Amino acid sequence: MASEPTALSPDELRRRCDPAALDFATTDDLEPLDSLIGQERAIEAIRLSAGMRHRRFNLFVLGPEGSGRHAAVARLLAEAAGERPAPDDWVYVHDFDAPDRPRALRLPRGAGPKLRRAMAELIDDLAQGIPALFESEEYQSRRAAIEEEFGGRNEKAFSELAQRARERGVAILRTPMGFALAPVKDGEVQKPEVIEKLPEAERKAIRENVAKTQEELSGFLESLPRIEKEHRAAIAALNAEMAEQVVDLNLADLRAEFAGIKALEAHFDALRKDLIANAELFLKAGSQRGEGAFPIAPAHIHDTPRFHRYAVNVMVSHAEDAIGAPVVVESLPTLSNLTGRVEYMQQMGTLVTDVTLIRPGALHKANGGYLVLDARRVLTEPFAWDALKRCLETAEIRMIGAGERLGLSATGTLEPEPVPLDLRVALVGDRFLHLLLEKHDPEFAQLFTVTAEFGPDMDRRAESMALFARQVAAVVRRECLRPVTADGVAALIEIASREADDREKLSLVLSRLWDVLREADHHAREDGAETVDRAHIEGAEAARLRRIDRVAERMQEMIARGTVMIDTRGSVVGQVNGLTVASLGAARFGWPARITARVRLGAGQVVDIEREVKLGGPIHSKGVLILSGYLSTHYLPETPLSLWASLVFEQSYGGVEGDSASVAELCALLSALAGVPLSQSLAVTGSVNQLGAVQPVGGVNEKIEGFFDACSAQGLTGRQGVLIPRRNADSLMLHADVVEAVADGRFQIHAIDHVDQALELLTGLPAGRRGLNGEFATGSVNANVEARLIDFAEARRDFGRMVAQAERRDDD
Amino acid sequence: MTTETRSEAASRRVLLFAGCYADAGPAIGLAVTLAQQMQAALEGVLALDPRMEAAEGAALVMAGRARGTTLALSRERLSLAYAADARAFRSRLDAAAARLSIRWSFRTDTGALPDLALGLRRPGDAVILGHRRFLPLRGPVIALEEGEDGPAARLARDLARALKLRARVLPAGTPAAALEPLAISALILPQSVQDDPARLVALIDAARCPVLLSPAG
Repeated sequence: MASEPTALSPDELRRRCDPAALDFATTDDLEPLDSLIGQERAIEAIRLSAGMRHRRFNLFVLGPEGSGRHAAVARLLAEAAGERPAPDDWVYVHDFDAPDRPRALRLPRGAGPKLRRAMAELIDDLAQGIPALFESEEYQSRRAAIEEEFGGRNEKAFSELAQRARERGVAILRTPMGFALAPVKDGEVQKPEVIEKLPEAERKAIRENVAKTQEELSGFLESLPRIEKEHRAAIAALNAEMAEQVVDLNLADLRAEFAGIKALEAHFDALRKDLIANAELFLKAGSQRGEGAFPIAPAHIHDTPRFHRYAVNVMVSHAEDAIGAPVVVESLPTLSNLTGRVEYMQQMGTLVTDVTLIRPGALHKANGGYLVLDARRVLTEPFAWDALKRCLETAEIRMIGAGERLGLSATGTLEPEPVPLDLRVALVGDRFLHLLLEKHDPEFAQLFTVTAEFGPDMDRRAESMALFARQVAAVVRRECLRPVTADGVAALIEIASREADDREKLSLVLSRLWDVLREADHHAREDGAETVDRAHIEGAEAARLRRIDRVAERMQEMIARGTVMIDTRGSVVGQVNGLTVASLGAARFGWPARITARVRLGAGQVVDIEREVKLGGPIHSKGVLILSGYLSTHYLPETPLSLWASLVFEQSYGGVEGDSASVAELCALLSALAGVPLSQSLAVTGSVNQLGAVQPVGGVNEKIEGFFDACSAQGLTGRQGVLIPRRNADSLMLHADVVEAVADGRFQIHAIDHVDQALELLTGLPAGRRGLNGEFATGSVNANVEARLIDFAEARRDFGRMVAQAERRDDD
Repeated sequence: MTTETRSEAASRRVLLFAGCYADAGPAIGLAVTLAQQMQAALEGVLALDPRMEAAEGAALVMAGRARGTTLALSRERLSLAYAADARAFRSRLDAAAARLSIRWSFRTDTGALPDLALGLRRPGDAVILGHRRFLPLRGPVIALEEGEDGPAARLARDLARALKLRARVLPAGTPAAALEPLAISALILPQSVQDDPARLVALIDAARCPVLLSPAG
């Protein structure tokens, strides 16, 4: 039995921060510190990933919400980006050989928008120049020559044919379907009945004349397609020759402006060929621009859809004198926001698209630099994670829409040429996601080889507190808050320790602390104070807790009204106050729970009722099984355990998980066995091992405060208190009212190492140690437990004999 | 100087006559442009050649996609073809005129061109006779008129500008045969030529393009 005193002094219940030790009056005296503190390991990892050139060194940043992961990653990557060159521009242009596969061109920085403007000007110029050229005297003369050559040849042939028909007495009548050949006499068409009355020789002559004309006309009409084709070819050749002049003239300026850009040379060649071949487009544009209610100004011809094939779509561009690589934070990483998308426009009831409707994604914008994404959002967006991996794996950005991936897209679309990808991705997530990805996605570990882990807390030392104060100063300056006094900063440090659940630590989940600071500043402003002091900070924290305290308050109300049955006075056999803790969002609170145990003769079984009804989690069940181990080895190790025992959390209708009640459960069980009542003034938390040693648990502060509130509601007697594992004593950072009650002797906190200490405090009896005779001291709790177990064992043996005799009698 | 009254302007017409839709096609652009310039109403007339009645049973050499093949001309076939042409003519007229907010109408009539047109025209009407060549040739707008400043010549220049063509003026006495080898987008004939029916027919047959009989005055 440990002899160390169990009762903790008020000083051990909360670690106050001495403002005098902070060595400043207000945060105005401090040099603000904008960088992170206590996250050196994570910072090193981020810098490594940012600086590595190998493409698989992408980064996964994990840590608790509010630890400043996003801001830190963005800032550190921006630092690294500043040392890298700004990337080149990327544009998409029409591929004249493969119209559904726009070409991606890499251009020097700043050249993208210039090329776009130059190309628009070229088209607008051609829209003026080509029609002007085609209206020129030279063109008209040459065109007239061609027309007259073909027209003359062809029409003359028909005129001669018509003349021969007339001479044969056959009229060629134009009808909607073709030409009717009718015999004529004296200029009048001869009706069939008239012809029938003519002598056979005349009829025969008429038939022959019509047949001959018909043959000639058929021959003439059949020759037309060939002549039309020749005519079109001649016109096209003339148009091309003329267009060539104006296209070359205009294109020469473009070539000169972008001379030396290899990627453009082939495009300009293809462009020239296409412009010449499609010069008629410009003629039509010229003829239509003045039509309609809102005619298109010649300067905007390039905007009309038919000229989009000549457009330059700038995916990403950087100024010529840009310094540093881009850092892009995509807050909505959908598939299309990542890889870009091809949009459509409605035209005559159908959806159409072209090179100008390709939209860049975050990967395009971050190419050559860094892309920061929230891991959970990427993983929850359909196809986004898979697309991101494909892009990183293949080192190129390939645009495939969700509809195409599902095979749902029935509309013809574009397949833009993939853009080579060279960037570093930083995924910001948490440990759970990291574990899931590592376990279930083999590609993850290959692509994201650097992990930066943000810790939840850091040691509370003089240096760290000084750095913390400078961070407070940085927030004050950045957000124009009132300066915080040293006492105010000390109060924030105490809250940070409480948030860390350990008075030797400071929480690094700073966002919540800064919220308290902002709220305190608000209160200070309302008070007309020049500075934010401890009262403002503690007031803000208290207000915050009050806002989220509704459920806890309701629970305490139910205890006070007896709906939830908790005794805080008296003693009961086999019944003890356990302690539970719950988290509901930002709210974390504890409350007592009654645990009871019942025993009887049995076959060595301890029944965990929670587990039987599937309300107990596996760790809780493990704790109960440990009790069985303790019982069977601590008492009568040579004799079969002959009891049946049941344990239950009374009035618990939700799940029970964790082993933090195992000390309480063991005490209740031993009380039931020994028939010794347990004090209801005390509550117990802590887990126990098979040797009876008490082990630390979580949420101790909230559990103590929960029981304190319950006792306060029923009236503090001075005998009430909580038993906690000694190894949790360093974690204590209790609220001031609890500390005050302990100081006044109205409440107690005991730190215990062994279950025997708990038994002594709860029963007021010695627990009892085995003496040299191998027996527990008479009158001790353990002696009573063992005596009861011996009774059970004997009763079981007697019962066994009785049964055997009865069976023999039956056999006889 | 004369002042035009509103009623005169409102009653002005551009009459477009054609024996079939194929002949009307190339003339519709010209007719619409002219109606816009004259602020006149446009009236399309599909003229049914009365000689067709007598030609029933005659050999019909098909044009278009079935070119060269021969059928017998029947009343039913002809009737269906005219109805289809009327629909196409009307629809094209509607599309072209509506775009420029020109008042328009359409009807069918029976009679040989150009007699039907000359019979129906009123003073101030411009008449266009639809005709075309076998090849879609593009040439100048030609006016047959003495001198460069006559009304036909001026009209030719205005139309040519609007249609982005060249204008050319040939002497009024130019023989019809001289027009045969020329690719003409439109031929404008002054009143003096219109008064000679035989020459008018000869010129129309030789030019084989939309022929505009310019309004008197």
